[in-house]
Amino acid sequence: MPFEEFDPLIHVPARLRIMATLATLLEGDTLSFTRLQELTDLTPGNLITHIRKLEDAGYIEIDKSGSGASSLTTVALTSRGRQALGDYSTSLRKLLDGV
Amino acid sequence: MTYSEQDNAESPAEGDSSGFDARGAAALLEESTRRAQRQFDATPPFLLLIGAVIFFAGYGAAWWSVRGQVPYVGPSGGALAVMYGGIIAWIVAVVTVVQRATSGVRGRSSKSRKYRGGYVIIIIAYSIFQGALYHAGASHTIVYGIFPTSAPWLFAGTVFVTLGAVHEEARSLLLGAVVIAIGLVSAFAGPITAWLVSGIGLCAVLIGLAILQSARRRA
Repeated sequence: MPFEEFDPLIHVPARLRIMATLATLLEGDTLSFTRLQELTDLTPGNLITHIRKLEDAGYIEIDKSGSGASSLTTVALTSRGRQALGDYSTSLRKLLDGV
Repeated sequence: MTYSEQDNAESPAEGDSSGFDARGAAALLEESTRRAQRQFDATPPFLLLIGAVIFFAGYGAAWWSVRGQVPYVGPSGGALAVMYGGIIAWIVAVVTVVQRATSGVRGRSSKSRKYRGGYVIIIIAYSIFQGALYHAGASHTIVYGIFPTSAPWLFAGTVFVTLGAVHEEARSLLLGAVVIAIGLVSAFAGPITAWLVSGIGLCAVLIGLAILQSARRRA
């Protein structure tokens, strides 16, 4: 299976880490931006860039509540995102089993 | 959320798929998943093993203090201090780990874990009921022997069985049945041996859960 068949949005180290982390939560659960940053070891700037790309693709949802110091940004994997990660994982396994 | 503007650019290593092969992707996917599961795990194996040691030592100390008592008067103050001190310290550790695991998480997984704090109601009810038994003139054998070594496990086991039935979780159902069995065996073992049965039984349950949890992590 050529690399071109992998979902290019997920087949990037940072975004794969974000998707894998969010996928361990139950469907519909959200994770704060700060905790996601801690778990993925990304800088805030890098993380926001990657989650925006995933949001544009409909793989995750970003929700901002409050304002100022009390503002909270949460991120959640959508059903579409969970499906995309599942498909990506299946493609990986197929490729590696065939090697 | 604030972040510096210079951060707002993809670093080549993180944002680029060139040189990121399938084997590397599979390894990263597995590593990230395992790491997140460990971080969100509210009942890590080490905590269960610590609990096993504490319950065994606490109930063992109580059993040691009541051995050969005729008539039966119950565990010594020192043994009860060791037992309850250990259990309280373990509960504090459990609450700390749960808070850490659910930090930043909102939704079903964090709610169900937080509501487990409701078990405190069971502990309070159990203590009040023990007082009522004493007030009603029940013997030391019942109040300080049979009741404290069986009633908590019958209460806790009932909760697990109920949760298992409601959420259709076989693991919770089985755990509840085992905990209830420990309570019943303790009740029939008599006031002295009951402390030992409870200690060994709960220690075995917690070690079993730790093994299951470790196996789940490796799966």
